[in-house]
Amino acid sequence: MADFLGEFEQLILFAVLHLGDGASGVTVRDEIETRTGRAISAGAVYTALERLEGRGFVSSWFGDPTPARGGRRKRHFRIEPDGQRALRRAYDSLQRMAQGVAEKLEPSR
Amino acid sequence: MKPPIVPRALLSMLLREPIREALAGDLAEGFNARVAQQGRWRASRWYWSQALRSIAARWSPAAPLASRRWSGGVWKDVRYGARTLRRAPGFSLVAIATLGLGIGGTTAAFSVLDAVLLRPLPYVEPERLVAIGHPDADTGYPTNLGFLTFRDWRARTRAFEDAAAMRSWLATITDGGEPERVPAVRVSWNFFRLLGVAPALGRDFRPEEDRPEAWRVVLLSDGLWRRRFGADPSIVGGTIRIHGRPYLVAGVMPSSFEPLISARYYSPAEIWAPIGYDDTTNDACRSCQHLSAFARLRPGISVDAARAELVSVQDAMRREFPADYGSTTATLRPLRDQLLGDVRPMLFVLFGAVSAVLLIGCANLAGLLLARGAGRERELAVRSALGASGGRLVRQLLTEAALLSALGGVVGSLLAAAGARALTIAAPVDVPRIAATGFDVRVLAFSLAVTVLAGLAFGLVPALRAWSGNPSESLHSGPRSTHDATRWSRRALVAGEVAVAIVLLAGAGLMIRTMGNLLGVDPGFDPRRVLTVDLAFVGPPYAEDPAVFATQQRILEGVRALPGVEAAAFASQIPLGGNMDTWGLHAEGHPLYGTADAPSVERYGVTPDYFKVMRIPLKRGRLLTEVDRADAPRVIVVGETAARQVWPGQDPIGKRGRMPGVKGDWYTVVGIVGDVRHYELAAPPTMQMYVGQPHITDSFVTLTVRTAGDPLSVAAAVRAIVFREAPGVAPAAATTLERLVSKSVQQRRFAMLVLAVFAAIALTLAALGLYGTISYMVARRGREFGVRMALGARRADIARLVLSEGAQLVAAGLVVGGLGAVMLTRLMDSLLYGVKPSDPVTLGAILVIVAAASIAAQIVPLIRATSTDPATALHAE
Repeated sequence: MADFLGEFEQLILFAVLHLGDGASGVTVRDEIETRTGRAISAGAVYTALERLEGRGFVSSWFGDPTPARGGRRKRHFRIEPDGQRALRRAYDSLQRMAQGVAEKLEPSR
Repeated sequence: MKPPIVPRALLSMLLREPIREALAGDLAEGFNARVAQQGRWRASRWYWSQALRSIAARWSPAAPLASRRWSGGVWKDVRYGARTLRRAPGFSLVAIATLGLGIGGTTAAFSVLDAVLLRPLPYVEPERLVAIGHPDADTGYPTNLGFLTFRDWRARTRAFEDAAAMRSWLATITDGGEPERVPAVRVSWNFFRLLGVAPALGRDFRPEEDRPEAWRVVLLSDGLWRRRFGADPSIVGGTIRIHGRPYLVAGVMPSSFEPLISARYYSPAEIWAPIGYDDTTNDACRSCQHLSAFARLRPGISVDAARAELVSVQDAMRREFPADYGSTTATLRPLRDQLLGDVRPMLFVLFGAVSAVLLIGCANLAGLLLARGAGRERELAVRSALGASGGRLVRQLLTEAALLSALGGVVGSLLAAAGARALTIAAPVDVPRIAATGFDVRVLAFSLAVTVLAGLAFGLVPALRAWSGNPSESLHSGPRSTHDATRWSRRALVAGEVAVAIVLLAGAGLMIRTMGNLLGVDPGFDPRRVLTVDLAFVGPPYAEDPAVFATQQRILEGVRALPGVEAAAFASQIPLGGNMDTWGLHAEGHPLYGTADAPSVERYGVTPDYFKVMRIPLKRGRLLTEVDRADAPRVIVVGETAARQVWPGQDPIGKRGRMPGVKGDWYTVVGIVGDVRHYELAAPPTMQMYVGQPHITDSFVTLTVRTAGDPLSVAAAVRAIVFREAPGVAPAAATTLERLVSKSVQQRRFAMLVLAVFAAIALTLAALGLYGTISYMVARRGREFGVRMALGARRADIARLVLSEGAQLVAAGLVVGGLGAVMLTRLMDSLLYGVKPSDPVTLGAILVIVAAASIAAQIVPLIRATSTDPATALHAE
């Protein structure tokens, strides 16, 4: 189960992919909120990102401090090949499971 | 723009690197973006919510364990803090002592407040219990009512689940040995059931025992059962003798039963018997208002709804029985308020005063820590430059504050245990439940909460100050840089202290004025050197009035013969004795003659020497004398208020009135005497009249004895005479009129003492705070003063500089404190007498005292400032 991804982790990895170079705690949070409407805290995002980093799925580095951040440095995140593979697998399994039944989820049925 | 400081500080303290850096930065960035788009308020809201939720997420069990640890060991901070405190033992001791006193005092006051006021009444669902009765003319609270009124209210008011009544009683146990006078009451058979309390031994009263022929059944208190009957269980079902008659002992109440109700209305009962009235009983009439009554409301019925229904029930009864009720209405009040309402202002004054002192103590400590923090700027700056984060430093300072307050809390808790005992001894004797004061879990919890709050109160301001300071700036500029914000905080703290001290001073001043006014009140009698002993002539030998009267005469003869006795008399009641005995006086020709609204006059049944014992002056006519025997014409003497109100514009002497009731005998007024203060010194005199014992003989009387020396020195001899002349009668403990007078002002005296003591402490602390601030200012600006003097400033200019600083602080404190005093002292209005909260004399005196104290506080720093030697100051660095 080392490469199993929870739903929240999948959302975060997708957001990191979307954001490219601009991925940081708050932008990931905002991305998820804009796309899914789920309001989550930056702290929870960081907890998940740290766990993903521990498993080698993402990596992070610090940028330079800026005045807008109260003189604090920014932590950037990037997806790693292991992370891409895991996300691919998770997405594939989801699609395979949905095959043939996806239309049953339509509200009109 | 910086995000709100509190969530920012929390983030710094509670999150670990590297998350803290990135997250705090992200949130700051997000905050600034939102300020631009949505405005400051919404941005702050967003920041608060993000910060708190992020902290919650990081500390939730789902988060990786590593992220949940504090950044760096708390233990390390504690050890570092302990070292810091040990290095400044003087500061630490002062801080711990101040906190200990503050926390101890507040906790002690809380333990009293908790035992007396906050705990629920010890009955089942006490919030549904109410006192019912006719409203008191002054307060509007329920007072007594007649038996038939009670019976009808109980039957007709649907809001009542049940109701029970109580009347005064006295039980003299005459089982062998010396007769013992035991406080007792008679109650409806369902009284204990109404409260939800059952006897621990035996059974409750039965309905059929609440009848005129069947009521000689008693329940005993646990204390009496142990003391008098050796805790013998076989007494239950047997009989004891009261006033020489046998009474069946139905049961014994549990030791936990507190007779709060009888204590409030009569005395803390140790024996209960059924009331035993029916409709034909003499005392059962509608206007015989001598019962107190209580009801349990049905579940879900509000007090207001029940009162409204009771009032309409009484309205209907007034129409039915206009002759009995006249304009008399009905009311009810939660039992809790009725029992404890009297002591509430006094206890709140106590608690408020102690809390104010704690507050000032905290402000002083905050000031000290600020000053120390300013002195430690360099230390903190160095630590910060070496990599300690702002949050880290805040935590360090907060840890020091927490250590101090924890030590203060320990000292305080020890003091609280002793302090609570001291308070229960110093407090007026008739405060209900005060004996239950103790140090228990609730009090401990309170003490802990106060300790934490105090630590936060005096630790947070300096900690936040230290945090928001810029480290590089203080490294560069050295210790002399005056941080405006720090200075401002200290000044605000001192002004606040002055303000709180002024509120306390105002309270103390008003109470001192009140006590002065009260002690200046002429009670209408001379309380010095008068012994009083209550007696009850009850039982078979005293069934007939002439027998009672004859016994009274024998006792008086015996007492008069004692050496040192100047005069002796009996009275059915005495002023300030806690009794109330008003009779309707139907004056001939009076417009209200024969109606229920006829003047209600306080009746004193006395023997002739009563006026001599009490030194009540004769104004006109004559006093009662030995001539007014049982077979002589019936006469009365009236007080001046009664004379004026019953016979306005006429000469009452020679006028007649009927008592009791319109069918009673005619009495002729033969004299007018001065009024006495009957209920309390603060209440204006009521209508009063005096009737001779030969005409209306009382069984419940007070023996009053005027002596040449200490009245208590004849007490033993008087008791012996009573035992000799009146078999089966147990005299109550002897007391003196002076003690009764003193007891009548004891609540106010207690409030005055408490306020005076705490106002003095508060003023001292505030003066110390002022001294500290000014000294600090002088020390910091010593170099500046030196420069000024070198440039030609005179000492007077420097003095003006120093004094204006202090004057600003005191003036700000005076304004805020003055406003606070006017608002807060209004709450103690019920304790005041003859003085208004905005009393100019009191306020003027406070101004003088505060000015004097503030000048005293500034003298030493002022001397230091003006004696600055310019050369020394300039060379110092």
